[in-house]
Amino acid sequence: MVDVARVPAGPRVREWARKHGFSEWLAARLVRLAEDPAPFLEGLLRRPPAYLRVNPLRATAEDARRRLEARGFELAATDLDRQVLRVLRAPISAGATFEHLMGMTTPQDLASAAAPIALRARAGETVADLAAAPGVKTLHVAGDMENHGAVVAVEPDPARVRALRFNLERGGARNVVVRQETAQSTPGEGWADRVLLDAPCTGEGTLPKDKARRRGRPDEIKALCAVQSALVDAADRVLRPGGRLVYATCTFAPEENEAQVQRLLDRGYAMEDLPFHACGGRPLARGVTDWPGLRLDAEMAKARRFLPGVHPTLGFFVAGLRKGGP
Amino acid sequence: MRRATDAEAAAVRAALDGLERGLADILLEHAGLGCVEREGTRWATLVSPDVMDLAAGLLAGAEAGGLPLGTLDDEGFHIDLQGAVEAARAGAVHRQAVRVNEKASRLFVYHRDVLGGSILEYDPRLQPGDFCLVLNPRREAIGIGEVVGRFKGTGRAVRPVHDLGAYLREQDP
Repeated sequence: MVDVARVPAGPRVREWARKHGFSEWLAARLVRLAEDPAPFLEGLLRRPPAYLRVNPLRATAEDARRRLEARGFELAATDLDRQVLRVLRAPISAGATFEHLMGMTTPQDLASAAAPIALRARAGETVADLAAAPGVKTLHVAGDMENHGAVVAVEPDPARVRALRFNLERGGARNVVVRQETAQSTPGEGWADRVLLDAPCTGEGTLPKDKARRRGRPDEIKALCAVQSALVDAADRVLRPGGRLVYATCTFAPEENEAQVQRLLDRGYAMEDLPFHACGGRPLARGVTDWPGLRLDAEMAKARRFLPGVHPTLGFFVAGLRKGGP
Repeated sequence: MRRATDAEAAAVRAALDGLERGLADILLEHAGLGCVEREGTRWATLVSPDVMDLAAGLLAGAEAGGLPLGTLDDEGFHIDLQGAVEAARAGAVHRQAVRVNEKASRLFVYHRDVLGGSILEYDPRLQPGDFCLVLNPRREAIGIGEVVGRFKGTGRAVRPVHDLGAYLREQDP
């Protein structure tokens, strides 16, 4: 069981927390996560730019951009993913366009694209997506695989399975099987070449758009850590030796991120270099290697963190690992 | 989920080719046909051949698999929304179809009727009571409708049966 670190808050942090309605324990933890906390803390108070991702199974980025610009959208390319466009001006919500209904585009934060990019799934492989709903990343993976190979998408919640199914249908995915079950119940072992585990989390990374999270509590982290550990065990079971596992969350808490990855390193996994190192022209933050109460390998620095205010995104954590074996 | 039986595959092929000759070959050139049963409905799905090579335990009990083209019953295959989308993407929809103007397209995805005067093009064989594919001005399928009136004037011509807007409405009613 992971203990949730409580770190002391200095007077300036306490004042900032009071001013902006954050719990002091959360603010004290957050300031430890950025080399320069000022822009990070500022970034937690305002929404980042909006983005949409073009689904290559339905349209090219150029086609989608042309169509949306004809409707009055202003869009710009991004440096992380050529399929993700920054929305500079939107006459209507990007989720209400005809292109969205046609499965050509999906609103998505830029940082979220990092997990499928890190997975680097290829046509012909078998991929497990163990926390798949609502399916935006699943569709990204299916697109990277050009609708060949197989993706097994797992989601336990019936309402979320429905959303997952709709998003995959709209997007034209032919290579995805949807299973309504917990990842712990997914049958078999060693059948996946790659596993994407975008784990349920406390969602601290969405602080810029969700004020309710400013009052987050340590027991929430503890509860989610238990869920994440079970998912990590399931991911380890279905991944073949030598396969790649990508662990991601949209939270900052090292207990939910690096501590979960460390469990895999302790089983013989190795960290992999990720195929991206910057976003919005700024280097991504490295994985945490020093956190109260956690023993973390130096290799953990190969993980990457997206920090609002530093990067033009919500918060996100991503790590790529290779399972030991042939 | 399982592979479609020969009889199911024949029913799907016949229906697609009835819509447009050669359509089945186009859609099935790089994909197989799967079958998923959910809530009492049997769906024919366009599926990557690799999916059917998954272990039986991963296919059994799947909630969905592949792209659902339509439903199967004792009478045969009935094309559904994504079947219409795929057929239109293949550039092979001229029969059993109406093409409507931009304004009607926008209204149709809000489950609104198409008026006769909004129709740019139609299959003259369509009669009231027939089901038809509804296309936007760019020949993209936006849904399936039922012919309920004449293809001119201000009266109702096509009633929506299933439209692309359902994906949003049913998730966020």
